[in-house]
Amino acid sequence: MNINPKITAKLESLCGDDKNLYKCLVELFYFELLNQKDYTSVYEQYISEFAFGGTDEDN
Amino acid sequence: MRITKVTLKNYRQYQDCEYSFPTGAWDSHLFIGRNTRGKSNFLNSINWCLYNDEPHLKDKDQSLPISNTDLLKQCSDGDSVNVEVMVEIQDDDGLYIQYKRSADFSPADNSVGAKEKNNRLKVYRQKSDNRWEPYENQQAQTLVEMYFPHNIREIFFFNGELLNNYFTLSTSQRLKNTITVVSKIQMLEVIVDRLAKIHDKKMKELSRHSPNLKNIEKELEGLKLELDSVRNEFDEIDDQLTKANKEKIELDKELQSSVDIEADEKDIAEYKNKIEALAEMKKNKEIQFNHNAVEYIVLQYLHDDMEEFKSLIDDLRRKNQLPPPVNSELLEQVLNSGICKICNTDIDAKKREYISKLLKTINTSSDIVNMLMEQSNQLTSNLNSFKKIVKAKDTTLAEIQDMNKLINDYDLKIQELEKKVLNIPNREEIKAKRIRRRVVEDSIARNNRMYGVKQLEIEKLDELIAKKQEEFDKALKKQQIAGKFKVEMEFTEKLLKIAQRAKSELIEETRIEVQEKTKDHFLALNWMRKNYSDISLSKDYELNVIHRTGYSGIGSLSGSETALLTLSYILALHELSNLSSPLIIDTPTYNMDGENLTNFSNVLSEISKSKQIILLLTPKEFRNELENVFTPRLTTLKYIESENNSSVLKEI
Repeated sequence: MNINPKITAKLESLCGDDKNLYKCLVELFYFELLNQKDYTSVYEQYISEFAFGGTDEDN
Repeated sequence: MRITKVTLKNYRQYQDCEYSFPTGAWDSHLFIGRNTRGKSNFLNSINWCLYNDEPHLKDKDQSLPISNTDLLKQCSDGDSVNVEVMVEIQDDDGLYIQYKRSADFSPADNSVGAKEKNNRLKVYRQKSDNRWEPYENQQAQTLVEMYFPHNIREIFFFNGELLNNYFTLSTSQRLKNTITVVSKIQMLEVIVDRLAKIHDKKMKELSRHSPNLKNIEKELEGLKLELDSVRNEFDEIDDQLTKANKEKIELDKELQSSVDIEADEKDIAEYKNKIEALAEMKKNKEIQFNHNAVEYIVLQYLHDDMEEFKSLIDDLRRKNQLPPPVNSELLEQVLNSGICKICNTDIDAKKREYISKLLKTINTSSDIVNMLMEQSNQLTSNLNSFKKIVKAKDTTLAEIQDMNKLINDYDLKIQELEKKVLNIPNREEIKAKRIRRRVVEDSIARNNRMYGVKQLEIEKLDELIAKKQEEFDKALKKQQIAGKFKVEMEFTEKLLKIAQRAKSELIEETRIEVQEKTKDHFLALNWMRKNYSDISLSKDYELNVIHRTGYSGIGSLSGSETALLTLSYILALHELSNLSSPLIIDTPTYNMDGENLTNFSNVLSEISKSKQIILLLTPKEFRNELENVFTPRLTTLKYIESENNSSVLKEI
């Protein structure tokens, strides 16, 4: 199941050149799509990962 | 996505019903049934399967049990009826998913209703390699939400009543919520909420991990500077010590075989001091001797006469030739009182005269005796003094002689030493070197003390620096962590701001989009455009239809116009949701007829070109207007009939 493309487009446009910001938000969306309740550690993991440049795969 | 098969087993009036939805150019499926045949329960069965509830019951409290009541009646003690509803769908990738809910029902103790147990939903999903993967519990429910989100099911499964009253029954908040859910903005809301909480947490963590590193660094630098200074002093002392020790070794070597002039001179000085002290003492002794000598000469001159005179007095005493001592006090009292103390009679002048003469004689005699005794005592004392003076004179003389001897001895020693010193070659040079060595030795002793002091200071400073360095390292580590927190917090802040902005902009954009799409659908038909010019969805989510005259016209819409407006709105939401879910509508046209029914039927059949439409109709609804429109476009046309107390689908 995909995220509403309008939302991704909106996020992409608001994030501008900051690709890590955009990628992080998309990851959070995919996480929320799975309807997860215990979110804190996952959110922090994504924030930590993307705040410092994303994963090697992303780079 | 479309529903491909539905099977009902023992669900209400359906004991065993299975229907596979065929495909065609149009995806329209009509099921016609009279009242109580099970049209609404067909819709309820899908709701029960997916959500475990039945929203299309007229009176939920007084409704019959979910299980088929005929079978339930036949149950003996301990028996139960197994109810199962299966809904199969085919997703946009052509893969199948089967939602299967089952539950066991047994008669209730009070013979009203039924007891339910073992209610569970199982989902089987076809994988791309044709395997079927089973899901249960939360995972199964997630698969329901993926295709039929529970909180917006009213835009997939509904009835004619909702079509007619949707905008009357729904508040603007409900419209907003539905739009938010459909466009998945509610997920953005969740993300905003969670990011805000994470942001707060990061703020707290950051404030906890911000040490005063600068102060610690300043203190550490201060200690290091102090250590450098002490080390410099220490090195200087060490250097001085090395030089002094070297000089001392050289001086020791040079002075090794030389005479100790210093010691000799010191001895000379000491002897001189002693002579001086002795001379002073001798002077005092001589004064004392002279004094004794004068006294001695006087006493020596009188000695023989004093002895002779004393001997004479002693002789007179021995011979009792000295008058005895008489107490003249009694005679003096008699004379003074004129009364005899013995006979107590008055004395006459004769007697008085006699007593006076006697008293005079007695006094003279006593004076002489007393004088002699005094002389005798004085003589004894003088003779004793003489003896002492003789002894003292001799002692003092001996002492003076001893002193003279010592002074002479010291003089001799001084002369000897001075002679020795004067005869030493390079005497002044050796003397200077000895003085220099003493200065160097003093310097070594002083520097040795300072060496120890500075060494202790260095050790103490090293210890303090090690502790401060440890503190600094910890603080640095904390600051590095704080730096990480700061970056993460700023990143979270950016995420939050973008998510908030995206949310507010998307809500606004979606509102306008819903408005435009609803308008597109509603005014796509000429018969609507004749009367209405616009549709608006205000910022407060109030939907309105603008009459061609410019007046607000939602209140004057006919039943079919209202239904079409609802349908337009629902289709707009379908498009926005990106969900290709089918529409299942129970009795959609029950209050329409004539041209309105034809027009509405046309709209529904047009939709079935791109979306599966399942209509549950009464025979009254399936009239010429609707039949004429749908017949050439039908994929399914079935009657719901009752056969052996069970509803079945039959061909017309």
